Amino acid sequence: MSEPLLQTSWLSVTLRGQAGPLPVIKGLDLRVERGEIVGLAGESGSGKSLTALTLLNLLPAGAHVDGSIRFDGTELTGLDRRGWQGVRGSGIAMVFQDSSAALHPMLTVGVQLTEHMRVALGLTKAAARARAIELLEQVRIPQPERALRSYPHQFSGGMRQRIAIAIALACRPRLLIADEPTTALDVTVQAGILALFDELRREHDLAVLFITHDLGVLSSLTQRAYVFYAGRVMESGATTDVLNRPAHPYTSALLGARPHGLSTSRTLQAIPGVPVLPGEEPPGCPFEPRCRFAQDVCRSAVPPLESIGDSRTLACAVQPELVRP
Amino acid sequence: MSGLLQIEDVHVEYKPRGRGVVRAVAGVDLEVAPGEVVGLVGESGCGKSSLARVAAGLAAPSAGRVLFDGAPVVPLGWRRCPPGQTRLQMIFQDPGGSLNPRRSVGAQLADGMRSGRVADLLDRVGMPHNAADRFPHEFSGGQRQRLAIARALAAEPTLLIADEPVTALDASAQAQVVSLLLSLVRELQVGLLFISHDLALVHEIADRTAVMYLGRVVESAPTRRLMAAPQHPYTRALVDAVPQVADQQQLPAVLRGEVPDPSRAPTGCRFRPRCPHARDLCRTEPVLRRVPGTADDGVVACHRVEEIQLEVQR
Repeated sequence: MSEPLLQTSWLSVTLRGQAGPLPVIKGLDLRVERGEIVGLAGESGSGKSLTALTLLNLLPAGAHVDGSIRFDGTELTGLDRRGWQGVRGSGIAMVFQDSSAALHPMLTVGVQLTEHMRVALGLTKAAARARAIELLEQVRIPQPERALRSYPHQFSGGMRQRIAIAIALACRPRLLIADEPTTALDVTVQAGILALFDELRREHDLAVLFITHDLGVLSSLTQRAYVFYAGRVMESGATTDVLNRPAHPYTSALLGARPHGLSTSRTLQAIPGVPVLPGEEPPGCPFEPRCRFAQDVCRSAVPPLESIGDSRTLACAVQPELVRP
Repeated sequence: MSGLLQIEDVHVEYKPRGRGVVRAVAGVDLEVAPGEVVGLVGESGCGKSSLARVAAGLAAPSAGRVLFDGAPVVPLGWRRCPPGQTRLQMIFQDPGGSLNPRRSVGAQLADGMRSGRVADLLDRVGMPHNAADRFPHEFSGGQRQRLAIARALAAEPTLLIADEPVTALDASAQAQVVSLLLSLVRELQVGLLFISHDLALVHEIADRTAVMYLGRVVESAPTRRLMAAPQHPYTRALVDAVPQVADQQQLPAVLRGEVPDPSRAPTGCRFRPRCPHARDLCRTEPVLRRVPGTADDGVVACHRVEEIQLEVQR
C-alpha cells in the first residue's frame, strides 16, 4: 500500500501559557488518504482547530511541536520558512469558519484570487485571470467575470465562503483543511457547500480534513472520523460505524446531547460538567470526571488508543456496552 | 381568546438610504398560549428577529399590532414601560452582551426582582449560590446564558421570547439551556417564543412551529407533523437540508438559488423563483389556509398543496 497523503505520528503541541508550558495536543496519530474526506469532531477547546494550525505551521509564537507530520512523502516538522511557503497553498490549503474575516474587505475578489497564483504558480496576469474565472465556475459563482470586479461585502455569506474555497483551491492543493466552514451558515446554504466539497473530492481527487462539531454534518460528508477530547483522540473509524455504534462514552454522550434527526424525538441529555481546560486535566482519562461509566482504573492512567478491529481505534479502559442514544 | 401573546398582521419596514423600502416582516399573525412553546424558523434575513423585536416591544411595527395579555405592547423608549409589560421578557443570542460586565451577578439579578431571594433564582437555573458575588466574565457561555435567563425570570414573566438563545453555545451547553427553558415552561406555565434557524433543535422543544420566508409565514403546524410531513415546498426544502446522523453517508438535499433581496421580493408567491413546483398560478399571492387532508390545525400558504401531496404519494 502506498503512503497516505498525510500522516502524523505522536504529534504533540505545547503552547506557552501564563503558568508554564501548556500541552494542548497529546500524541496525535492522524491519517488522511488521497481523495478522502476525514472529519475531526469534538467540542470547542478540544484541540481541533489547533491541529489545523499545526499542520500549516501557523501556531502562535512560543509553541513547541513534537513528533512527525509526513505529507506527500515529505517530513514537515523542522521545515524552514521557505519550506513551509512551498507547502502552504500548493500542498495544504485552508478554509476558515468566518469568510468575512478571511477575505480582505477593500480588495476585489479578482485581486485576492489572482495574487498568490501569480507568485506561487508564476502565471501571467491574463493566465491568472483565466484560471480565476475557471475556479469561480468550479465553486458555482454565477457571472464569474463580474464577481472578479466585486468586493466581498457584495456577496452573501454562502457565496463568500465559496470564494474563500476558490482562493484555497487556486494553487491546486492536495489537501484542504476546512475548519467549521459551514457553522455560520443557514442549513440550506450549508447543504450547497457540503455538496461542493463532495464534488471536489470526487472530480478532483481532493483530500479534505473537515473540522466540525455537528455530528449530522460529520455523518453526511465524511468517510472516516476522529473524535477529539482534551487534545486526544477518543476514538476513530469509519464515520458510519463511529456514529451508529459509538465505542467511547464521550461519543455516545455527544450523540445524546444533540438532536440528530427529525424523525424521532427524545429528551436531550446534557453531558454533566464542563469540558476540561488545558493544564487542568485529571491524571487519568480526560473524560473520566464527566463519564457515567468511570471506574477506578480510569483515574490512574490515561488509556492508550488501541485498535478494536474494523479499522477502528478506541481510548477507553472500561469499554462499556453502548447503544446509540 | 386564549393567546397570551397575539401578533396580528404585523408589518415591519426599514428604509435604508439608496435602496427601496425593505419589508422585513410583511403581515404576520402568530399566537403563543401559556405553557406553550412556539418555534419560529427560517433562514437569515427572513424577518424572524425583526418580528421578535416588535413582539418584545423593542421596536414599533409599521402596521398591525401586538397584544400581550390583552393589552397592546408599547415600544420601549416612548414612555415608561407599563408595569404589566415587564411580565414579557426577552433572551438574546449573546449572553455576554445582555449582562453588565462591571456589576456582580447578584446585583443585576436583584434589580429586576419583584420578591424573593437571589439564591432562589440561581437555584432555578441550576447555578451555585456563590455565583451572586461573581462577575459575568467568570462564567462560561452556557453558564452566562443561564444567568441571563435568571435575569429574565427575576421579573416573574409569563412570556419569554428567546432569539437564537443557544446558537453561540457548544452542544452539551445547548442541551443544558434547552432543558432549562423547557422545565420553566412546564413548571411555571410561561409561554415561550423560541426563534432559531436550527430545525433539529426546534423539533426537540416546540409544540407548534411557524416557518417564515421573506417576511411571511408560509406554514404553521404542530411541530411533529410539520417536520414529519411538511406541506409547503419551502418547509420541505428546509427539512431536507438538515444533515442527519444516518446509517450511511448521505448528503443533504440542495435548494436551488438564494434568498432574494427583501427590498426586491418577488411578486405573487415569494418562494416561486426557487420552487420546483411553481406554475403560472403562483404569480398571485397565496394566503394561509387549512392543510387539506390533515386532522390538525396546521395552515399553509401554497396554491398547489393538493397536487404536491399527490406527487409526494406517488
